Amino acid sequence: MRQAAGARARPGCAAGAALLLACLLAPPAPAAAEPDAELERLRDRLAQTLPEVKREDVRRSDAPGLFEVRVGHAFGYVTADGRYLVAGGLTDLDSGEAITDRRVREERLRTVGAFDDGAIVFAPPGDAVKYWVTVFTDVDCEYCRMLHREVPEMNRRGIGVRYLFYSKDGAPSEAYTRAQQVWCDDDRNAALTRGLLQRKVADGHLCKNPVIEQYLAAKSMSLRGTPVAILPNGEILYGYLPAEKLLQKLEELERPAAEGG
Amino acid sequence: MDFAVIKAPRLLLTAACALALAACAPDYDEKAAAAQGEAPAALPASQNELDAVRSALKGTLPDLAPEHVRSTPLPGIYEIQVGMNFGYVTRDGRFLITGDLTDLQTRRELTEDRRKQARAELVSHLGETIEFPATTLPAKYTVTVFTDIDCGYCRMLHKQIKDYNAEGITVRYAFFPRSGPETASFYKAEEVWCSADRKEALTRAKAGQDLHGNKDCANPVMKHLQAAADLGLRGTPAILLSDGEMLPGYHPPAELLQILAKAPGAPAG
Repeated sequence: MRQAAGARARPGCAAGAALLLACLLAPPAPAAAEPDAELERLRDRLAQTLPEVKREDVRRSDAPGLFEVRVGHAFGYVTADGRYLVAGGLTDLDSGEAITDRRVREERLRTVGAFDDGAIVFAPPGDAVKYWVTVFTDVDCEYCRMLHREVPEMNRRGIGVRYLFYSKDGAPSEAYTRAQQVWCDDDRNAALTRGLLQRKVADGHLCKNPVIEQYLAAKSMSLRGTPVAILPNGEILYGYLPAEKLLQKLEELERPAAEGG
Repeated sequence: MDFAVIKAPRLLLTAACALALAACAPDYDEKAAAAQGEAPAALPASQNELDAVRSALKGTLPDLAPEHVRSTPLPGIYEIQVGMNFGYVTRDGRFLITGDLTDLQTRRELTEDRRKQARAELVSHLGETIEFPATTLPAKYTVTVFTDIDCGYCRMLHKQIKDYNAEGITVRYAFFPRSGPETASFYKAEEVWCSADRKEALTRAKAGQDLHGNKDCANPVMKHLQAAADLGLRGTPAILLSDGEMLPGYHPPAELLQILAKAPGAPAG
């Protein structure tokens, strides 16, 4: 979210130079309005009755009188008094928007975004990237190999790939060990390519690595296998698509569409 | 009191389409059922108020029957019903939430309560069934079992019918030939119904015997099959308790008795 830079002139500050100076130096209006007493009361209450929901994950929803609660990637809606909960999807019947679907997609982007530093990136140079996709991969997975062979073509078409690991057998397992070895290699990209395409195990050294966190993130999104891509709108795409078809899909997503996630 | 009732996996996200109200009967949770408090009452709502909501939904949910818009215990939130599917809308008809409503205070599953009522209502209009009465009297419980003559678990259940009856359970069989109308299973059901001794015919049919019977009498097999569809039944046997609780699948006699004994407010007979 971008913050407005510097102070903004406020209306009604025209009376006299000193006052004008004070106004120009005044901090911008705070992003939040007055504290939301109703929301805070609800948060207090839910801390007792829905302790697994973090305080900040209780928010007003688009529907007046209903508040969104989130645990991981699951959503529900509660009344202002915190007594009633509907675990499910909120839809705006007038616009047709599947609101909860949108929130789920937003949360996925947030989740994978947190791993930007730990991703293994295959992308064309900076300004040539039109679309970023995050792909969960596994060194032991046939379709992951097929997808990886497609990556140079994807890059040529302006699709940047951020790889995260999702070893379906979790930890401990051979795939998990190999994923860590790839990640800890001095040249991760080469190690991943070797691991996927040549099925060569990387050299053995381990290091402090985010592979388990990546696995847990995939699990929290209930991802069912690999490869699975998270698209720029947070949509999930299982399996492998040839580069051209993937590009078409990404271009379609950009067009304003009637359908929800 | 244990407040960690709503486990994270139960905050389930439903699928995308605005008009799809996917109902999925949760697995029967004995502990939760036993722990529930009294159901909160729906708020009183005038006809005008309900008519306003109905009007607001005419454009987006045109097939919604007026009687299927009702008030709930939540101010400004109304229940809508399509078949066995329930959803909740705001007074202005703008927002729809599909999912199960829970009262965090009493821990009652309110949507499931409504489903149970709707099922019980439907079953009460089923008409005649093939009844195997409890042999230990007075009968403690009556269940309606949707059965398919050609279903293995149904046969397993029926092999033990004497044991269910001895536990004080009366079993009323309704037909759910899963292969559909005008199929072998459907005809078998009709043959059973058209027999002079239906109970005996059912027992023989479930033992795999060919009845060589007449199937051209007036019979409720289609009506039962329609009821099964309306109830959203996915398989057999499906056991319906008198309060509308639905137990999918086979439960041996002693286990069924335990479930019946623990079910809240399930009256006998």
